[in-house]
Amino acid sequence: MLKVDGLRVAAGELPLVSDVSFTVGGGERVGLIGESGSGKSLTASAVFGLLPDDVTAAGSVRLDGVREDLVGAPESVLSRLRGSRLAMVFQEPMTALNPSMRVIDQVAEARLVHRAAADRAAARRDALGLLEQVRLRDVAELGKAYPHQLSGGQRQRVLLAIALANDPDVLICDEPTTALDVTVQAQLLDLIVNGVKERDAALLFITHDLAVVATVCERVLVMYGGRIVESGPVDEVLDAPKHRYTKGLLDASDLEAVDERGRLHAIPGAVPAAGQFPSGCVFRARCPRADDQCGEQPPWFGEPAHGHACWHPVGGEE
Amino acid sequence: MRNLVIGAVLVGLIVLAALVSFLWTPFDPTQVDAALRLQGPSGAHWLGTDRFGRDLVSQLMVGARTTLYVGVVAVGVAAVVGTPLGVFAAAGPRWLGEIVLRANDIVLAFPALLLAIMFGAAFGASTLTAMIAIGVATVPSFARLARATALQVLSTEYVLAARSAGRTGLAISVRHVLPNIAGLIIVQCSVSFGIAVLAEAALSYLGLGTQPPTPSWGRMLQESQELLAVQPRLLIVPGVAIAVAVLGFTLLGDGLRDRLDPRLEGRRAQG
Repeated sequence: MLKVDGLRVAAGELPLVSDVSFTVGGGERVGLIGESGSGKSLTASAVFGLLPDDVTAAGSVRLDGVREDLVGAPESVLSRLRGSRLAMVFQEPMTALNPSMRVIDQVAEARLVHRAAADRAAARRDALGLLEQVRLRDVAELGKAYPHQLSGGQRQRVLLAIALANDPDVLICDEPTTALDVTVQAQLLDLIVNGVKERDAALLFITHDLAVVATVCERVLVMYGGRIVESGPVDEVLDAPKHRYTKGLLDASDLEAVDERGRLHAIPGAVPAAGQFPSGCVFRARCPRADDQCGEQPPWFGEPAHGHACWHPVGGEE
Repeated sequence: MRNLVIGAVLVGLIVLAALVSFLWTPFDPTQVDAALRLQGPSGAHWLGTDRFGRDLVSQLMVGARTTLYVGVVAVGVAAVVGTPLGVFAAAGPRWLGEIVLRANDIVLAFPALLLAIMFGAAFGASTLTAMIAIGVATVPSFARLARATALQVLSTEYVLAARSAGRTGLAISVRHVLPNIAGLIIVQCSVSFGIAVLAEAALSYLGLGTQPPTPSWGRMLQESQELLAVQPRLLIVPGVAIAVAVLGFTLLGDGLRDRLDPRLEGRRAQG
């Protein structure tokens, strides 16, 4: 459904995302994980053609049934696709709704923009149905409220209702649960998965929470330093990571395991600023297993949909 | 809240005086009577008469009309021209926005009084000329405010969300930007109203605004100038009226800001 090939995003001369390729099929749920600054959100923005002014994308992003390449497509083509075939749920439910507009009108607008509803009254009726679909109660009352009168969880449901309003083929969720309480998270994840399943849509789920990926996704892409370093089915990647970075990420999220001094595992160092990544393997500056060979950019080992880019994978020759 | 009430009462007083003046004034405000020159306050003439024997209360009431008329037109011109310009400068193509901004700076750098004098010379001194000159001189402050606040709104996630839902430029400006800056624009209107009233008084004082015999608070001030030492009352009455008008609109603006500023919205709902 969505095919990204050799995507590069750069701010002037500064590369931010390099050579990212992946596909997401209809009905498939793919997770995109990595630390802050790894280029996850930029990848999503590039797919939507919503990069900041001074940031450019190259490579190719294809959507089934669209002749043009989305990279470099004119705004008129992109704005027709956004909200109808491509939809996005943002991280911050507090700020992603217009504070001076009633909730129902914001949902109705999603129907009106793409002329999916005949008039405002019909769009409002659709909106009530959509709000019910995301299991909000008393939708007639709630629709009349302004965003600041809703809780974070309610707002995120409203955003999901807006994203699902036109039955998109591709739904991108950019850390949708990060700002929510754990109890509310699970309900929202359920709604996202159901919404996508009912529509047979492709889901690209961006997060840094490995547990969330494990519940929601079937396949996972691991990103670091603007590159995809490992990909594969969720079980296999999370149970038997190949790339040293994935391994480090998993160790760091294991809150039971401690080292000999009783401290939790962490990846040494911090994510470098954009443009400060080492040449060759992007992870080598923080990798315990790095050697001279890592000064060379590792090729992709394995299948496109299941493989890694590491000279010394976990479980390989030590 | 208190500002809003006080402001509304003061402004209401002026509006009421102006409205009543259409139906009734104690005397004809333009009637000259040499026998009644420079009388102090009395039962018939509550605030006395000026050096032509005209009733001060009547002049004040009819002058309120001029004041409101000037404020409405001047602020209307400024808001209707300035706000879309500012939003456009923020949302439109960058180079066009730059041109709008530079043009804005030029008008801003131009002394308002000089502009009014030029307008007066070109189109003849009248209340209308004064109003339009004041309006044009006030356009930049609206354009600046609109641009700055529109930029803020345009950088919010809900505008990004609207774009990711397929909304495009103009629709975003109308549906998302304008409603969210409207509160601040209304506040600016109220504050500018006070400034416009003051500017009209100044222009009329210089003889560039309202022409005789139409009563205007600014002209009342001017005419009382020579009698300042003997009859300070003649200066104090219109002076107080102008001060009340400016104070009223400014307080109203302040009070409205507390109610309309979207950034204060959440706080109010919680508190």
